[in-house]
Amino acid sequence: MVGIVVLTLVPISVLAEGNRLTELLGDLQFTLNGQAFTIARSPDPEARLSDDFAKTSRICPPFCLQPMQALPGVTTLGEMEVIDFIRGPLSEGRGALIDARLPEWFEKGSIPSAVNVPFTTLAPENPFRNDILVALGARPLGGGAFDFSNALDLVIFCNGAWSDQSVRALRALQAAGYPLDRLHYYRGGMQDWLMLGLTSSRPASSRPAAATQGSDG
Amino acid sequence: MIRLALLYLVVVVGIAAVITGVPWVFRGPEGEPVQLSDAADPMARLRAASDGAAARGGTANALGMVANAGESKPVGVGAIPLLRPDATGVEQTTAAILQDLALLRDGDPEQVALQRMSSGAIAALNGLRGQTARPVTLEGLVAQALREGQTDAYIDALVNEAAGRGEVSVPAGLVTASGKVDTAVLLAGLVSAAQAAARADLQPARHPALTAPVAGTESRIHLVQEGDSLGAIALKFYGNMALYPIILEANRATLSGPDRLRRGQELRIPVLKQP
Repeated sequence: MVGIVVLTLVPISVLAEGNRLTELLGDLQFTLNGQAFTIARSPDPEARLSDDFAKTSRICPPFCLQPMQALPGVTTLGEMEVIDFIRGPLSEGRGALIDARLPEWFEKGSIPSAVNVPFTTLAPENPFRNDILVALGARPLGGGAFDFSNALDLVIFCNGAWSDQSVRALRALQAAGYPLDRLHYYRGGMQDWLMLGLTSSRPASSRPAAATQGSDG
Repeated sequence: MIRLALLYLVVVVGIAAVITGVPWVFRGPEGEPVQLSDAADPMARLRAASDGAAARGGTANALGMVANAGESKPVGVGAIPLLRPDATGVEQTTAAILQDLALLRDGDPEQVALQRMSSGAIAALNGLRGQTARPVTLEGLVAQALREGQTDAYIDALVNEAAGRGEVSVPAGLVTASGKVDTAVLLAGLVSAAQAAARADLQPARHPALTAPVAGTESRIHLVQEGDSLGAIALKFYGNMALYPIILEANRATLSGPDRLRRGQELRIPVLKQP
């Protein structure tokens, strides 16, 4: 019995190419609202970063380095903690993985199962900011007041340590009254996710026919 | 499609003009001069535009939407509506609805992008919890109902039910002294904005920033009544609900927000002047 439970919670599928997330975890396969996702590392040991994420020296401002601690009270996560979050709160319907970048970046590829909530939509200048808070699980009390006791746990990421979009999203949520212990910062963002060869998703509509994994030449 | 919708609009507004009597002229999209009502009492004109059309399907018909809906169902109104953040204007709402209905071509690109991104985010977040697809904003809700040809009464019930449950946020300027969402003023504003958009299609673009009126030194007093919203008061006195911030500003001492109207409250209504 216990063995079965462990197998479903910790799926260890041996990839033919042999790459794994950790010694104990081959890859992560999960279903969210009827949609199946897989997170694995590329089996190609020669794979390299290309295009946008091969750049090292984007100019600050605006591409300035972000601190490890985004806000006091907000936990910073690495990749394995993000995966734990997916297996835990996200799969149990208590959390959301938030890609805080603008849609054109999200369309190019994101962490599988992430939801695009651009950082600009969380600012009070957005007329729909409060609608988004409700979608995040805040209970409206009338006017601009909310009860956040059932609000979702959020992991927020952007392009990584050279982008301030996650931090802006976190600050905006803090200003809106979102409880800080429900907020988590994946500082590595897409830069580190791709650098580690982890699966990137694209909406089906924009996915080219050819496979996207591995190096092109 | 747009031409057909505008043609409908012109015809319906023309009928309203006959009802209210005093003529003014603009050229319809087909190039024929069309008699329309005077702008002297815009509230009456807009009410007439929307009331006159009500017998034939309300605002949906006035805007050229297909009327095929059943009767409206009575719905209970919930608690205080979910409000938008400060300084969110009503005119953004009308512009977004008209754009959704393809009656307005160019909106403020920043607002358009914000609405698109927000709707996408809300739909995706709702999807996480398996909630079915439905319009997720006030604008989406009203646009869909108009497209379905629903009556004004149905739209009023629909909007107040959703806002009362906190499912969609509403601009504070549309909240009445009794805590309802003033859909009558929103729908009248839609007809008026659609007319303006139709005229703008035929005339060189004007720059609203150059002609926007400001508060003068003289003012009148308005006694707030049950059912008044700041948008409705601005429409009544200025013929434009988007100008409600002028009234709000003039009454800062006694009015903390556009949704804070009290019945019996005295409001100072500045007489407008051109800057």
